[in-house]
Amino acid sequence: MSGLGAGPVAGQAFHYRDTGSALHRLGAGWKLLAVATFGAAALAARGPLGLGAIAAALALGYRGAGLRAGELWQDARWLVVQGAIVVGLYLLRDGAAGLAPGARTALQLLLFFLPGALLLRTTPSARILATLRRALPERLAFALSTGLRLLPAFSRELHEIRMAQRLRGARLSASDLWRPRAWRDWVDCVGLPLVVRAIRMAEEAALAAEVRGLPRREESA
Amino acid sequence: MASRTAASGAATPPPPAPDGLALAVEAFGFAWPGADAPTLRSIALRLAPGECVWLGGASGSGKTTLLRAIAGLLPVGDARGQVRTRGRPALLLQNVETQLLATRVDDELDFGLALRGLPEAERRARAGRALGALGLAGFEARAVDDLSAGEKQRVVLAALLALEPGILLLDEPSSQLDPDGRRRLAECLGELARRGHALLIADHVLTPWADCVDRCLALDKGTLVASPRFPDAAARGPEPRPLAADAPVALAVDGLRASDGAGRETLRGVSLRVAAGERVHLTGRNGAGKSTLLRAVAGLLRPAGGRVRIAGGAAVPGRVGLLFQNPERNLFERSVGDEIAFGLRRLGWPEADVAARVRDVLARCGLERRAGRSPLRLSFGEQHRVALASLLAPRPALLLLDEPFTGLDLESRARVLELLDREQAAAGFGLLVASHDPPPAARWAHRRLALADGRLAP
Repeated sequence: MSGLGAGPVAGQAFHYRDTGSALHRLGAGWKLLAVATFGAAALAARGPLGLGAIAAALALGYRGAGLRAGELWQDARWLVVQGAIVVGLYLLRDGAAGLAPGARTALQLLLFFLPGALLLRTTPSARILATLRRALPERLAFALSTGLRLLPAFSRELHEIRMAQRLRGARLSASDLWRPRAWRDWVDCVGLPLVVRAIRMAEEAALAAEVRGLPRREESA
Repeated sequence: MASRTAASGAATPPPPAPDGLALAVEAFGFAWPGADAPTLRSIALRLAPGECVWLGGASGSGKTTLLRAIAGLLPVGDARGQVRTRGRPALLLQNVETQLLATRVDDELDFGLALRGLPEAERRARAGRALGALGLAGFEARAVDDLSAGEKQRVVLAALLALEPGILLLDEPSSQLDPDGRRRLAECLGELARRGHALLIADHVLTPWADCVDRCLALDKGTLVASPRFPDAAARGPEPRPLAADAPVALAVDGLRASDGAGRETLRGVSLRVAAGERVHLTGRNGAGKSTLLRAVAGLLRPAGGRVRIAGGAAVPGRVGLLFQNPERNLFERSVGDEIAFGLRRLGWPEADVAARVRDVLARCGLERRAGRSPLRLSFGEQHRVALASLLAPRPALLLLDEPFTGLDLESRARVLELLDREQAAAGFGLLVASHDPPPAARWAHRRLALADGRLAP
């Protein structure tokens, strides 16, 4: 085991950074439309050609927005981890035959979420919320925008949990990703506490919004 | 008596309080759905405008439930009695990060005002007044993520104040603030009380709020009782044992440098020794670099320079343990026993030794009767002890604790201090505690150090 010491410093994944690019200035409505289109295309695409084209377009998007490769990696890395878990599950179910469909599903998931990450990188959340509010019911707009708002906090939480568990001996270093026996640790030692924390945070945010006057579901229904 | 169902939610203000009162709670009781016993029993509480009341009580005594009841934010449960307020109540919750709903300060304040459907000029005027009242004038265009913990909390409080509530309820406002942040908040709260706002502050500690508090109450198992004026003095802990002159070095740090993700230098050459059996308490403001130091010592982040040796070797699991602020981050196993066994199994201990050590640690930490329980179903204080027990199990040479007293009531704090004292006497590990507060018991640590601006102050 490579041990400790190789962990990256806490970054701010999905975090808005103004570089003044054309993508930053583009209207939030157009960008939301593009996110939906790219997401749908990622789920619909089957062949390596289509998925490759989407990946290339996204890489160009990050570049065009003036973002650094390190920032793309920050946004993508937990999806890469998720991808490794997905491939692992396919291998467990189907053996070697599961490799190709597993890898495709993992790539689809990555390409489904990355457009959203690029949206967050290039659009202040208030603008996203204002745009969503015009198109969606109040509660749905709130749920979506708060989900986006809490993503950096989730990413910090993931980082903290991973550090705590690595120190207890969980196999969670980058080199462990290539060892299928270590994948369980991602699910047990990181996934479970993360879900518990995520539910807690979502409850708190909902309560905070209620304090400010967002109606409860049973009343708005 | 007319009973208000607790499900009325924020959209329906509670019935108005009698003349001259900001809050009138009468014979109020509440049981959470599925609970065996009520959390609150026959609560009677009256607050006048401009009055500031401190509400103490152990963890689980019902403080948060009472605040949520007054704010009209309890789920449908078995509620009886009556809560009446002057105007709408506002509730500041514990965790500031999840209460920030926007990325900019002005959007944060506008969230609730827009839901009220107020005209834009009125919204801006109210937001400006609220920010001014909390010492945040000119903060409108700031990004909330760039603010300190104290500023974030005052932004949320300003967002509540802009809604012009009749009473402000605060749930453990001190827990995430350093002494400076608390002082600023206490000044603001005093000013709000002078302007006629009724304030109800539920907190484990009274000291930060002593200047603005008119009355002290406490909840004891769901019943309201009068509290002695300064209960904080009750925090006691065992004094340190004398150190042997030839005690081995548990931790040696030389010229440690580290940067955060944004490239800002957070540690600028820190050198420090902790002997086996020694207790060192490290203080510093939020953002002074305490957490970075602990993480670098534990080997969880790569330092930009300098050297860390733990008992003469590298930082590896088993040799060093780090307790993070929130015990939920540590816990995932099906049972408390498995949780404690996890690290030992990963270190390759034979199963018979694991079982013996787990029994031993459970007994030492007062958790025998919890061995088969799911850690996620325990109280916060018990989860904290399970996380600590799982770190103690492999007999580390060095134990690092990051803000270990946050969210613990005074009794739980004293228990943790006693537990650490006992274990240290038995196992002789070095102990480094980082906190923005002084030790809960004045003479508990051998040494106190202060970290400021990435350097250890002499």
